Amino acid sequence: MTKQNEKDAKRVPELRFKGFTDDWEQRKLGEIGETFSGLSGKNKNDFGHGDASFITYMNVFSNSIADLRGTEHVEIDSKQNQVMYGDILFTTSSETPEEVGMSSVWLGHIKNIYLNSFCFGYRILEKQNFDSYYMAYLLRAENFRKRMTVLAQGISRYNISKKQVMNTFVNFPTMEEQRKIGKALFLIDKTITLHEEKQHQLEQLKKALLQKMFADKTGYPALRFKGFTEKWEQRKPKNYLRESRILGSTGVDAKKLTVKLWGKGVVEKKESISGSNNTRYYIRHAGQLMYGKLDFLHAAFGIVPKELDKYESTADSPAFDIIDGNPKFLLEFFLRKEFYLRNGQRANGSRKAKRIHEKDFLEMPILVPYKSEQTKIGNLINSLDRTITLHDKKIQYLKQLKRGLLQKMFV
Amino acid sequence: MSKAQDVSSQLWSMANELRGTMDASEYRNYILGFMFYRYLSEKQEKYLIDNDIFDQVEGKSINDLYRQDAVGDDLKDYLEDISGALGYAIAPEDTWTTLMEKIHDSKANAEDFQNIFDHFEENAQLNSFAEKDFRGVFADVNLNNSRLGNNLATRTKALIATAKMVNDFDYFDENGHDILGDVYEYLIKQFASNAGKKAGEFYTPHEVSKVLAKLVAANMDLNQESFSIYDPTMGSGSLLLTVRDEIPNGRQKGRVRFYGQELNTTTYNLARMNLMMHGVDYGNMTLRNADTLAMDWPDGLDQDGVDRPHFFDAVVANPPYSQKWDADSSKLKDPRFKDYGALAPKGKADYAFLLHSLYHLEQNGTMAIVLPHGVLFRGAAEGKIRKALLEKGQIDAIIGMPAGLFYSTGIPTIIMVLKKHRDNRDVLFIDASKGFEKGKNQNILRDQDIDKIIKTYKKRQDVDKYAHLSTMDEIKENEFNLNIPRYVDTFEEEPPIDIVALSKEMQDIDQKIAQSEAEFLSLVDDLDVNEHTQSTIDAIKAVFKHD
Repeated sequence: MTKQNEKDAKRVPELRFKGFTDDWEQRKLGEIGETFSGLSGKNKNDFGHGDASFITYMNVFSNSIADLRGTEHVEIDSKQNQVMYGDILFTTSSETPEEVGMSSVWLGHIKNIYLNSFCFGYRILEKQNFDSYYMAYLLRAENFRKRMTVLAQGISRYNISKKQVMNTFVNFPTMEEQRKIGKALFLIDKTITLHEEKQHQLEQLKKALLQKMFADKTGYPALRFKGFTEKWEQRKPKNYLRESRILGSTGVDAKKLTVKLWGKGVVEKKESISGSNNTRYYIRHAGQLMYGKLDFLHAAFGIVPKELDKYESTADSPAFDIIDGNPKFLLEFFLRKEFYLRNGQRANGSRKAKRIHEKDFLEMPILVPYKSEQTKIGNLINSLDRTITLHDKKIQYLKQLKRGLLQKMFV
Repeated sequence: MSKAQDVSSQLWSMANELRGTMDASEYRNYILGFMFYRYLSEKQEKYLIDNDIFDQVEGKSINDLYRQDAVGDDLKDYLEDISGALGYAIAPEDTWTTLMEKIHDSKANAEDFQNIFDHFEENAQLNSFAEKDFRGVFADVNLNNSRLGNNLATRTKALIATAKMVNDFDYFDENGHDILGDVYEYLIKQFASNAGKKAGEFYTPHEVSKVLAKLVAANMDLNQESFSIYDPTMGSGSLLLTVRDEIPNGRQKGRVRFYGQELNTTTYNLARMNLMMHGVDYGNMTLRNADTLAMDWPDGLDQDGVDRPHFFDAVVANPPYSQKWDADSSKLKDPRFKDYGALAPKGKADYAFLLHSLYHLEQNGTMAIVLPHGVLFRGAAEGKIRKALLEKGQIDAIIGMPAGLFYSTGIPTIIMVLKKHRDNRDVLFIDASKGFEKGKNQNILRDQDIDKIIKTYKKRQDVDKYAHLSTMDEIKENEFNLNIPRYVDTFEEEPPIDIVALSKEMQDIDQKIAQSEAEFLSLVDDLDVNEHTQSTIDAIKAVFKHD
């Protein structure tokens, strides 16, 4: 007995629904269904129009149950294979071996739907004996994924052959048990999706609050804390920030940090090769505000977190001590399109990758309140941010829980 | 596809087969040179017919008659007469028709090719008015190039193949119009777009030329009898031809006088051929092979020792961007530069080209020049020159163009329209950077994009997110920085988010989450509990249980 067979011999999962005790049955995928190919003989002029649709590669790749909206237009072509309800779609190539042969189940009823040419389809013949949801999760479970990875061939791109996928053995319980497993996993998936939607809503809520709590051209915000009535003042970043230039080490020795785009913060920069001896680095301190000169238009602003104190960056990511004002308020102020995009567009330069000099940044006009109001606003956004971060953590945990279930509920 | 395009794409693919290992940009000189020679030879034949030099004889062609008649002392008379009329003359043994007959009879040899070009050069001296237009025009057709073949026989074979290819097409469209000029232009474009960055410099894409041409034409007094147009960095001369096409009756004899200058000799030769093949009379063109940024190009001192510079009704230019130049301080006295308080920096000749062009503009003329964005906001010397131009009211309009329009560079550019004398001090800004269609290698300006620019320019009014007529005060407020986004605001405001509606959606999601979690929980309840699974199941339940 080979090692693989030995393991398969014990054909019951760890976690099982009440009342099921039978051994699972091992079947070869090729025995219970047959494959068909995606679109072929098409050139780029055939796409983007027409009454038929095809399911995109990304749709198959990213979803265990395909998103019914993840299709694009193509002309009707009777020579091509149509995808039907319950068909399972596999990607044939990928950039890493771990991502080859990803599968997705199609649960749509529309006519004239085809499959992109980088995937192949698989249709189960005895449909009454196999549950689509069960299949969807079975083929994404760790056990099956490992076997696909082993079958990946190639160097810079990896391919998998239909034939080898069809030669793979998988295990099935009775239809009744399949349905229960499929449903449980579908529900956890659905829960995750709903939480992600909620996450998005919380971000929208933050955006909405920022719109209302920052002054518009009139100098007054729409939503204010009690007791504040003054008009916001025309100031400049230089009234609140002072550039910090503490000479550090060179590219070889520096522990580097970088400012992420879209306000995603200041993080450690991991490099596969060490930097140059000729590049000057500057020491940054926790609490300093930083931005990326080349990515000003992509909202690369952030505040150095405690754990990155004394990390370094080049002059292309300047840092500023906050000499007045509330840090969170200022950061959120700069992160609004109204600030970075409007001012970034006006700045000298023509290329998309404009380099915004700190001298220009410090002179940009801003409309701000007194520090006490700044602090109140900063605190409010901080607490909303905490809620959002916690919610995001919860989503990560749910995803881990799903992975755990995928391990325990299949053989 | 037009016939001209059709013919040129056929020629292009044939040329690619014939050139073998030779660079496309090098082979260009042979195919274009032969085309021009054929053109001149046929033009001469037409002249002989139109002026009834010979009596028609049954079974004999004009070339036969010319060969028969133009011998000995008569030949000299013929050549002088033809040269007096056309500016050049081709002896009967050297005509295209004779060459083709020799090739047809397999009698052509290396000497025949050598002769036609040598004799052409000699005869170019017969007419002193035309000499500078024709001399050396075939200098780049190098018959001894080893890349044609490594011995005389293979070289001759290659030349014959090329000549035959040029001969295989007739250059008239279905209406009998001469399309040779257009074919020539298409080929120049093909060579430019296939020759890589460096070699594409001599060609300004036709669509960009059209914008420049229409901008200067918009300001012309069309009642004027004739116009002089000048391109100080003319490349292959296409831009000048495009301007002609925007002038009503521009092709009428004497209506447009062409002036141009080009530093690269090969390119200068291309320009001479290009203009003549487009029907420009040698008497109407003054093209020079010289450095625009060196000594200015006066016609020389007059009898009183005074330099009288030329001024033109329209100046158009697409100079090389941010070129190095010799910015010696003595140039501050140069009449072209002296009124602007500074010289363009030595690493960036952009303003030197601009001031040269402006200097040669008539008082009521218009110029349009393509430049990189940097000229709008760079400081130091360039800031000074910009300020001086603005204070003199010479900048009429600034148009931001899309990136990727050129063969030689991907950077976005601007077109600046200038006049020597204006009553106003306002400047029109147009942000045309988003009006284009994505092409395979280059972005393309569509007719609608060009029309929009020209219409907006003529109207000289604000257009939301596209154009703004700025006052001098506004420019001063911006410290003479002309960067387009300072004047044309293209910022898109974010749509306001309705918190009340958002709240409803959020509550709805909360409810769905509760439902989904409860359903999941009921399934977890159904899991088989044993000593191994007890803790796992309890843990899952604990997460989803609500009190």
